[in-house]
Amino acid sequence: MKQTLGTAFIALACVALTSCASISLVKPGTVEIENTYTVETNTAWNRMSGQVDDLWTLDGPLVQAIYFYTGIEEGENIFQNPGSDNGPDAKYKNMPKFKKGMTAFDISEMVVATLAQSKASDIQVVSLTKAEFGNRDGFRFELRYKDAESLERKALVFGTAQNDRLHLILYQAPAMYYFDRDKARVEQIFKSVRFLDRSA
Amino acid sequence: MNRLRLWSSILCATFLLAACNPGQPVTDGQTALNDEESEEYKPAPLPDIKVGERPDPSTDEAGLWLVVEREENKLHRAGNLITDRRLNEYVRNIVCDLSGPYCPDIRVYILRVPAFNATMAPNGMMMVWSGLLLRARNEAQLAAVLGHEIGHYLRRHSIQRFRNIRDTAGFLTFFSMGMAVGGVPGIADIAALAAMGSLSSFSRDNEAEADALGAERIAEAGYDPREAAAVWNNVIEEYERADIKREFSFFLSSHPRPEDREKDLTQRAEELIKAKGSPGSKHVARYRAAIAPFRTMMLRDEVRRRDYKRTVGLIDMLLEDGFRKGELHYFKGEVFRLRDNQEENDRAAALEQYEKARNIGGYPPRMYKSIGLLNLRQKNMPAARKAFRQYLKLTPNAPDKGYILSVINPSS
Repeated sequence: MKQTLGTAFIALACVALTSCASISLVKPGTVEIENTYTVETNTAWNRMSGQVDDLWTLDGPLVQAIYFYTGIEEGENIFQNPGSDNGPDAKYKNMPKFKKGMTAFDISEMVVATLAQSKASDIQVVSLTKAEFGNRDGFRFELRYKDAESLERKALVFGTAQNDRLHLILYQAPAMYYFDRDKARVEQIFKSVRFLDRSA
Repeated sequence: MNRLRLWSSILCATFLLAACNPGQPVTDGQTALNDEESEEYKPAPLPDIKVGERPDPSTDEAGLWLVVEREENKLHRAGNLITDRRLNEYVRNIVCDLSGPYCPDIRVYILRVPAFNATMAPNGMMMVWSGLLLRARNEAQLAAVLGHEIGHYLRRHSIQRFRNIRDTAGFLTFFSMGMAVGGVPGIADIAALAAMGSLSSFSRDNEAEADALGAERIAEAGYDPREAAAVWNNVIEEYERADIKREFSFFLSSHPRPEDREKDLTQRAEELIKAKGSPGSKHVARYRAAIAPFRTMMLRDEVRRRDYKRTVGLIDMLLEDGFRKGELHYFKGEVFRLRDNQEENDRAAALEQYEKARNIGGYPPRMYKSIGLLNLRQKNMPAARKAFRQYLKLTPNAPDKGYILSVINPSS
């Protein structure tokens, strides 16, 4: 199970975090993400991995986090969980799925619908532009939404769907104070993406 | 999550789930509390709750209230709580008309959850989901559901149900199902809530009693009591259109059969109309005016469920009802565009719906963006550019203007 975007998703995250995640320190320097690309960070982060797939945070996942979703293929949702009719995975069943040929618009709608299914409300896309992701054509968009507890949050999403696989990096934090405080260092991580030669 | 909090949530969620949720299929892997179980143990009937009554602190009922009150506190800061004063007053006034002296004891919370449901907790906390407001066709239908919920409250069905389940083998099943749920519902919880609804629903007797009480109250308040049957009719039709057949096992396990329910409600309505000498009102215009400012939002939330077949069926039913048809065609087009099933020819179907919306009017400007996106997908660049330009003309400050301009003029 891959993990989710923001405290909108935190309800899902809590159980996984307590039972499965291991926490490690990301030191400043070059970091490899899921055997797919590298990023550079000039500050240290806490990395929670395990069932939670590469979540980075400074003050804790309930405050802010960067999520790395790599290699999403045709027919998969962001969490790469097919869902089920019953049980805890039922929530994934109708989550929007990636399709080859999706444009940045389609992908922004996919992320918005995913958030909407995860207790976020009043979700608005506040900007959408082209952007390079690694050396590939990509996009970036910014969202505003209210989380399950009415806290205003912002998210910055950066990605590419070139070569028929979707890669997304999502950063979310409370609109007040935290989002802007860490935005520059997150942007620096976004810009530093370099695909590994061995990645698809 | 704190263990106590989790259990409290489970217990609370249990009692938030009232009768109206039509539920998801009870699959082979689940054990619904069947009639035999619920009929075996029948606690002594309780007297109706009194106006302003709080349970004796030494009772299990007081414990139940405490748990629910804790959940109610969370509701105040729920992100999906609709706080619009006018809409809240509108629903609240209906509740007050129906509940009379109990009005101060019932608190209404309208939540943005795109599914048909209203719930009533034992302490008077009523939740109304936006999906119910989208589906009701008139005020009498909304009142019928609210009246039914008030019936559960007055007759203290929650505590009856709690005692019944506590004393049967179903308790563990009940709680293990509840592990998936807690607190304020969101879209993701609908499936889990509905599955649990099949276990935590009230007994057939309780449902029939709430139906009867609800029908009486809406008739007394001047509404057409036949609309109570119409509500269930709509629910049945929505499921049928989506081919969700097995869902009815939920009704069969613990609810009156939908056909019986409809028949009983219709018969009861005829009696009430005869006794009263007039059929009462539906209040279509008043209802439409009240929900109009939220209809676009509710339809967008419905589409975001990505439960395509069901949403198409629902929109078709709403089209037959005829309120704001242009907007409905736009959203039907959105469903086809998002589903993008080539075998179903969804792209052409979407464009056809957008065209109908354009002829009728009342669609949002972003329809042109959708038309542009569809044409972009079809590699029909001239048509895509034309639609995107129209979108930017109508929405000069569009948040995605930068990206759209780069699509229209790739070289710049």
